[in-house]
Amino acid sequence: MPLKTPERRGCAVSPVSLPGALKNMSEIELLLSRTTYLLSVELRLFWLIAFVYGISFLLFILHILTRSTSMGKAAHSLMWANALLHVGLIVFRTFEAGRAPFQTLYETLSWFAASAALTYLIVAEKFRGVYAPGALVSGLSMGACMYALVSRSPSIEPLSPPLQSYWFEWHVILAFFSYAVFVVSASIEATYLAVKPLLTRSGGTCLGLTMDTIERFRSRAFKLVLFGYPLLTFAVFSGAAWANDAWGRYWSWDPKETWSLITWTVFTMYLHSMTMQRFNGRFASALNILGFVCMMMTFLGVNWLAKLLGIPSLHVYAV
Amino acid sequence: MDNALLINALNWSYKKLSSIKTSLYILGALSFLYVIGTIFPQGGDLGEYAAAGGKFVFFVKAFSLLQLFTSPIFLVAALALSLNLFICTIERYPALFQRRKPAQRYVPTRSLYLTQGLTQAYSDTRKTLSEGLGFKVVSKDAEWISMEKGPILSYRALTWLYHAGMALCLIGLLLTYLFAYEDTLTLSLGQATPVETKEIGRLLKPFGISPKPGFSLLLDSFTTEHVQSPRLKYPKDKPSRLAIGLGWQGLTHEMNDESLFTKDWRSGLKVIKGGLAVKEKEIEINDPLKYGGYTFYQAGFSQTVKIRVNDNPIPLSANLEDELAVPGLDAPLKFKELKAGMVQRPNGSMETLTPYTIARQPVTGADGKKKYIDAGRLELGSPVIIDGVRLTLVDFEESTVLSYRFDPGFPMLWWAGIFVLIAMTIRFFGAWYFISYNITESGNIVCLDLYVEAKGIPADCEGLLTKIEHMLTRGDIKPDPVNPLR
Ligand code: HEM
Repeated sequence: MPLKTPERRGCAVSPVSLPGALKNMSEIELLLSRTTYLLSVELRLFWLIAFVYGISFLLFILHILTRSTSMGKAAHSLMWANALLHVGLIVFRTFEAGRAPFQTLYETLSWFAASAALTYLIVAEKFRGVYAPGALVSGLSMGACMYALVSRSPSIEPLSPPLQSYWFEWHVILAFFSYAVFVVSASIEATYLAVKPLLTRSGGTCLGLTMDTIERFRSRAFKLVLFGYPLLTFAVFSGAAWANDAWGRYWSWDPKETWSLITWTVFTMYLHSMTMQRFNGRFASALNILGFVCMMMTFLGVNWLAKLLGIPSLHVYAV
Repeated sequence: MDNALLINALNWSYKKLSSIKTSLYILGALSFLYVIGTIFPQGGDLGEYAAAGGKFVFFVKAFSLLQLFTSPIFLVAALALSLNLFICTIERYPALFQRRKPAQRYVPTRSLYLTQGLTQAYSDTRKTLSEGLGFKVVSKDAEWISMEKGPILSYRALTWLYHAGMALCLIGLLLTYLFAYEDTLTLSLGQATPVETKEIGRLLKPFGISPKPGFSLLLDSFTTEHVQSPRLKYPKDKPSRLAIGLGWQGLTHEMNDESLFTKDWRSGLKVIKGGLAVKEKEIEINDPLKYGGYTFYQAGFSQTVKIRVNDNPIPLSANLEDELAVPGLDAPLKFKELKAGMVQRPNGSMETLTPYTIARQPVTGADGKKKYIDAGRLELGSPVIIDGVRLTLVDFEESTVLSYRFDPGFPMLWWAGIFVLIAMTIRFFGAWYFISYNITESGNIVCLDLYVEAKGIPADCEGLLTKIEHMLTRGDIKPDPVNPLR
């Protein structure tokens, strides 16, 4: 191939200066007022959704405290209606932004809350009459929405260059799908750990569970981890493939990367312990809950830990 | 005696390393090390750590906590996991070809009374399980007949396959650890720069072997692209945010000349070998150039602006990281990223941007900290007066910053990773059943004992048992299940 003389593209001096380019001011004003209006509608709906998650959370807690089935049913139905509205809001944001709705932490928090709630409601169809796990899920969904609304900016910005990759979408979708599944699994496991001793002591029915049904109920938590584990594996794998394309190195031991590896390793331990008679009881349950905690650390805790230690980033010398 | 001791120790280690329980401990230890690695800043310097008030200098030094992931303690844990995985995989290989041994006695999962005679009951059960439900016999003894059913391969084979895949991933990681190296390269427009490796992989380093890539890279073009987009003015305090949510307070967006987001930057590269361009590609973030085992990534770019002060014929040159002392100005100037290239307007149209930068001057804020405030917008060729001094942006230079890497471990890790994902997905999302049955007759009563095990997410033991019960007792007047908890 013969060599060409180099050219400097895009650096040409053009007679069109920027202020001159904003010719049609009314067009721009229209755009700004449309953007503002849509975002205001979105924010009002989002506050309402956070509030309703809060109400269902309270009803779930009342159900646990009073053992009233009707409270549980009401919380469950309210959560269904709210989760559907939340999905609608995410679709709305997708059209508003003209891209996948999980670029900023504001967006991923909303996505996390909706996917956890929806996954829980779908899984809960398999154990009708048991409502207690809803408390953790609705509490988390409310917390995630409030965090997004109070601490993050809802601004819609164009995709930055590193995010313009098909790996990004797959990576985030699968990671958050696995997160939703792990949240529900942990809520079932926590219910199991709380109810099993009560049933062993006094028998009968407790929060919709009996001695005959509780192990089958717990097996859902195991199946959910089986479901989430390949998704998380793919999320870690696609994250590495993406880092390799964008930054030229598939693994940098960055705290977020490392926490995702910790989560993956803890769930590997959980799956291993479930295949061993000696460890598949409380020990495995504890690992499942620990896996959930690690997952939350990966998603939010890395930043939180930095704040807790009073340092702007983990990459400073203060520990 | 010593030999016997050694053999015993090796036997003991081998036994331990072939156990899944050991994997639990090793994975636990690795998780702990990972956590430590997220608390201590990796790649940092011990002196800086101590100077910044680090509290654990002794431990940091003793256990190389600032280089934890290449420290002996971590490498030993990683080696232990690798040995554990390799030994487990090799140990379990023969079992894939062995028939599953029947247990001495199964505790039935469910028992059914049948109205058929013994011989008919045997024949009906076999027919129901094999023809009706697709089970295949795997073993038989005097009492129990065992059968299996699943999509493809046995679940044990799939579990083995993805463990073997993970062992291959570890080999890929080892190759990366031993041989990979990386560096950066800054290219100016029109200049061919030879690719020279200073950094070499861990294994080659002690021998002083330095690979010679033997080619140069030429930057043929450099393009940046921006998009003009509205910016939200969002209050920082929580009550105002709530007020916006309740509709008591309005939102505002603004858009001006500076509302530009950098959407992309691209470098047109040519690989030059023996005076000829052997490959050319326009690279961007997420789309690198691959050549001769090397991958070149778009890491960033650097800019230099040339500023004419009043009518001085020799312009001052400034790069964007440093302050520029300008004769006649009390405070130095610092320039923001120069915007050049294409811009996409909100209505979708594309325009060529007149290159410009923003000149800023340092001030001391209320908190006593130094910050910069905008002093003027300098467009190429258009003079601007700042504090009585006429400044003109007369030219600029851009160079591209590439990072490049040689990593022979990546292809293996990539393909083995895909293999692991496929095997794991089939294993988890398929349904496998193992069933053992035994039929007994006492007096006139024929009883079928069924033992069922299931693997995989869709597997449903209860559903299968109900189906079998229904199929076997379809013609009966009234099926009579025995207490399932028997
Ligand atoms: C990177 C390391 C490892 C990962 C990610 C991993 C992953 C897994 C997963 C996800 C399972 C559960 C799947 C199932 O229920 O079939 C599993 C099961 C198992 N793993 Fe591992 N494993 C690892 C290392 C090891 C090692 C070192 C051993 C050595 C003994 C081992 C032996 C087993 C066994 C025996 C099972 C049970 C399989 C079954 O139930 O059929 N694994 N492993």
